[in-house]
Amino acid sequence: MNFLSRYWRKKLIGDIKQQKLLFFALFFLCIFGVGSYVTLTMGYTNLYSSLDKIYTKTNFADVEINTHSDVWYNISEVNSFINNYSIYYPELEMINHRLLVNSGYNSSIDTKEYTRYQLTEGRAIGLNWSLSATERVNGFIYNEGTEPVHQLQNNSILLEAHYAHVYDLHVNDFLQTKIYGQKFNFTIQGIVYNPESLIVIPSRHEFLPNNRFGIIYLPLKILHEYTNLTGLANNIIIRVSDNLSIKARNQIISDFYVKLNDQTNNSFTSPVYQEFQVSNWALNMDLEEIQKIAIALPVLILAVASIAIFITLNRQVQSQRRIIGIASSLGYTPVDILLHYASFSFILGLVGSVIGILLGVGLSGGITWIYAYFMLFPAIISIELQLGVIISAFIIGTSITFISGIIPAIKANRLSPREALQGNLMISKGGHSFFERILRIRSFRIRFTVPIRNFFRQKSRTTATIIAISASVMILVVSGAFNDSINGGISRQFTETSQYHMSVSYEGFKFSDLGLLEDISYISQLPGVESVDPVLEIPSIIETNGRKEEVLIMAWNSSSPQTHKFQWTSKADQLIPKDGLILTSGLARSLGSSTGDTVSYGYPRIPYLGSAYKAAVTIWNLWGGGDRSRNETLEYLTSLITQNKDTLSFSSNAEEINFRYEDITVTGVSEEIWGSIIYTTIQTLTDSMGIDIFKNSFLDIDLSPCSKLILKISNPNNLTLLENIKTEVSSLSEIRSITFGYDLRNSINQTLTAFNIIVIIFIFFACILAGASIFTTIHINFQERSRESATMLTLGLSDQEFLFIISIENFFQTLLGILGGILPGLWLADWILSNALRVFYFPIVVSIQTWLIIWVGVLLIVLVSQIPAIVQGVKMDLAEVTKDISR
Amino acid sequence: MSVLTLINLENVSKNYTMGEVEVNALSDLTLEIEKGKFVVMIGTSGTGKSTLLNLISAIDTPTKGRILIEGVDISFLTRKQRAQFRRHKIGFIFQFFNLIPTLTAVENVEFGLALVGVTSSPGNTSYDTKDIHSTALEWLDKVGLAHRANHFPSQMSGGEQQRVAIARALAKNPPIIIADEPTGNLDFRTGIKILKLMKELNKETQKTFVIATHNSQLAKIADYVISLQMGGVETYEQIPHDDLDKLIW
Ligand SMILES: Nc1ncnc2c1ncn2[C@@H]1O[C@H](COP(=O)(O)OP(=O)(O)O)[C@@H](O)[C@H]1O
Ligand SMILES: [Mg+2]
Repeated sequence: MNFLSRYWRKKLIGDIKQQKLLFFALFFLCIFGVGSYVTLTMGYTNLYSSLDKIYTKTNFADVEINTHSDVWYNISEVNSFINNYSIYYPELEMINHRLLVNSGYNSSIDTKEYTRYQLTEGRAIGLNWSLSATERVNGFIYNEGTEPVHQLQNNSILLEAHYAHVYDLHVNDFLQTKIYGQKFNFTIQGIVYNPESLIVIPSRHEFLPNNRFGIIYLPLKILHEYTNLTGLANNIIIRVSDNLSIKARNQIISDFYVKLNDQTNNSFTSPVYQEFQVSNWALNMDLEEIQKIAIALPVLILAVASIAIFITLNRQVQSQRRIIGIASSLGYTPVDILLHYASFSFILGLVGSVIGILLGVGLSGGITWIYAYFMLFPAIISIELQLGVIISAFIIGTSITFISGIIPAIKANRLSPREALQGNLMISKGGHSFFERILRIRSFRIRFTVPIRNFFRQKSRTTATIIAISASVMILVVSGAFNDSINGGISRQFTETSQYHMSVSYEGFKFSDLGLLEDISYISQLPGVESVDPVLEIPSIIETNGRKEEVLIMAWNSSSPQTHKFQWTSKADQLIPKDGLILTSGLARSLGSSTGDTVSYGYPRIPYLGSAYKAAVTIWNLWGGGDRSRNETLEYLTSLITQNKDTLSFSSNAEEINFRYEDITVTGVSEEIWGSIIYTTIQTLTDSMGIDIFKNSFLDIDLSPCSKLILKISNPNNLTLLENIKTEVSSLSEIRSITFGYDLRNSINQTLTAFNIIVIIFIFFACILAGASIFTTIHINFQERSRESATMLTLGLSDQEFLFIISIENFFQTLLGILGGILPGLWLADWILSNALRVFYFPIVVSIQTWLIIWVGVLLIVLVSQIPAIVQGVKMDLAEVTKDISR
Repeated sequence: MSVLTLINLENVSKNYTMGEVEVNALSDLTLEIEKGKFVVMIGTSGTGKSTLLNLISAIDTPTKGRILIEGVDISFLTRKQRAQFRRHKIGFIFQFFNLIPTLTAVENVEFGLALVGVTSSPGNTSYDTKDIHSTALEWLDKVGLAHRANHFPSQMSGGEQQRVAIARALAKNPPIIIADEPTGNLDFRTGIKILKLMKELNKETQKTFVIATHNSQLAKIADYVISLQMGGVETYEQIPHDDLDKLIW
């Protein structure tokens, strides 16, 4: 280090020593800025590369094409089409057929009180077991057990790891399963991760990860036997050549899809590309969030750091004018002086960046690990030192500090010796404050006059401090708004809006006069059951103003369900029994529609209720609506529906599947967290589908379909009561799963724990930022005003009165800082929430408690962080400082 | 100790430690200052004048010995008690004026007044802003600066600033006024005027002034002179020279 002469080197060390605390605060900012950049950037890069590894290792499908619900295709037919087709398109490298079947599981879980069984929903996936691991699309990573050599043993399955974790299941344990009404006791032969369920999200309409959704894998042949669907499948997964661009991929796949649908009477829904596969999409959303934060947070911190460094050095040059003058009159060159002051910030940047990088590298592993831990990822977590991040962090850290230090250094360099030597007393200018001028106030008590005049005395510094506080408040408001909006939204949804305590899923559809009404009346008389609402859930598409959204229709049997309370957003809102549609507020926002508008909704004509429709028409035509008794008709209908289901649903001989569109009026907008759900009545749906042809005949048969029952329980906190009801209900036929509202809330709370950790980290950063910036400002203010402070103390001002004067000034700074941070914070929170999380919708709310915490918290931080500076200030040598003319 | 004694130093020593070096600024000093006197302390630079003033005004504490002000020992006061003592007993006039730059002339005086309030009659102290303001204005008038009341320090000359400082010191109505080199930063003519003002105020208010200066000429205007030398101290009373204009320094 030869570029500084001995004298300057000594002086540099002296300066640093003299301002240990200040220097420390600047270091802190620098370290945190660089550190947070490295931590977050390396964290998400690590996560990305971990996911990449998992996806590569398991041959994650580039695209997936599913049939409509209750529609199957014939594997050999489709295969011959594919074989012909892929002659022209060798890019379609691997194509697997799978059969996805809804299933239910019954597993025990230990709760605080006792061990109980939970009847949950899930999916059984049949796949071609003769494929080798390299030929299989969407392969496995084994968490327990090893790849079976040839065939799974009879009655054995592989179980997805998340479910196994929740219910503490291991290899060789049994799993009680229900597939198509049959019960099986499978042996678990392996616990596996599968790339499509790294986060288990059953469908696009269920935005929350659901670790209780059990996924089992078994040979296709065996599943065929269990389900009577031999030769059929409903899910095609494809891997394309690695070197294909996204555009080329989409082109090839959409062409393939069109031809495939031509072959199969439109049996397939639109292809789902890898990036929209729900689990992958949810992961990417998380990572994008982290990525955004990885930029925003360090930018905020480093901006504050650079402002602080600038202010500090500027002040230092000011106060060392005479030293500079003496030095230059002694013959030190301007370059010496420039180097001296520049090296101050250079050391800051250099050491700060190095420590920040070391810290960040350490923490980034932690972030990757914590995320993987909470999401229950397989053990392949790649933690790498990313040279690019380290180098960029170093460059960013050193250059930002260096640049903010160089301007004051240049100023020092330009100071002429004559100017610099002017030892004359510098009195800072006084003036009436902004407030006094605006409000025309005279005669404050003097102890208020001093802080009020000091406020904005150094305009740029006060502004910088206010900006720093605003930045912290912004982070706090975002954290608070996230927390309140999401927690509040969810809690409102599950207490005020959805007033259900138990939900019962059927395996398929249940029709009113074909057993549903009997089930309902049976359940209604069970002790503790307050009301039962049947619901029909079917996927649909909504179109309006040229916008198109995939949605889930939830149809109630009445216009005023007992278990759901709409949260109307306008006075005109109401549910009209016929031809009315309720939009959830998020959907209303993304469609740009409101109450009174007309939208068109589409549903696939055949698959859902086609069997019943077909059966009803057949009988109607056969018997002309008369002649037979009601009971005979019902019996005949039941058998026809089962038969028709088989013949109707297989692609080769199925009727062509068309989307039917109907215009419908939006009769209300309900404020809920779901972003893709619409409500209507079953009546409205069956009317447009035309399956109620018996309704007004003398037989008066109601074929309204339903897929779920929602129960309201009189005493929902009584778990024994719930268990009893569950036992009774599960004895009914065709029941797939029974979920307690209580369990749903619990799993949501678990999911939110990870989220809350992020919020806490945010708050921590915000506090540090506010504290360090306030400390720096006050410290500098003190240096600059030490003479007048010393004078006040000499005249007999007590330490408390002095503290009061300083606090008042900081109080005003903080007040403005908080006010300045609120709107940008709310705006940022809204932007992140509405952009990042499309499937659900949380209107931004900030609770009074949160506001209180923000206001009181920030004020407290400011008042506390001023203390070290003040303590240092009041300890000054009054005799010395009142005489020191350089101040 | 006579009844008139206001300040009483008994065997006072003050040492400063700077690293390993011990500097003996004052050693074994004993002296008395009577009430109402105009005291000038002379001595060349480094003889301990400032140190002595700091001890008397409880800015600093002695290493050894006792300092009695109005009979009360101030050597062992706490930080808080010393602030209280300075507030009520001492008026300060500094070499560099030390006005609060953000306050106007009258507000600077008010600042001092606000610390102790305005006492119209014994036991009747008012902290009312109006009373404080009018009293401050009266004092500005006394130092001849009524017309400058609403000016900020940066808008005033050195002499004017020192007048404000004098008003601020006296307005509090303390028994002792301490001035360390009060003319050290002023030109000759202005310095004379400031000294004249202080002399007048001393006569009028009967407050004890203790002024330190390196200019031995100024000893002539004192009732009582403390002459600090490297070896020790010499004190004497005298009839002061009244014609200040004849002073040279
Ligand atoms: N804070 C201090 N630390 C160390 N030595 C000091 C300090 N203040 C004064 N001194 C020393 O004490 C002696 C007396 O100083 P001072 O009272 O300022 O003298 P004067 O005011 O007569 O010039 C000097 O030698 C000075 O160097
Ligand atoms: Mg001195």
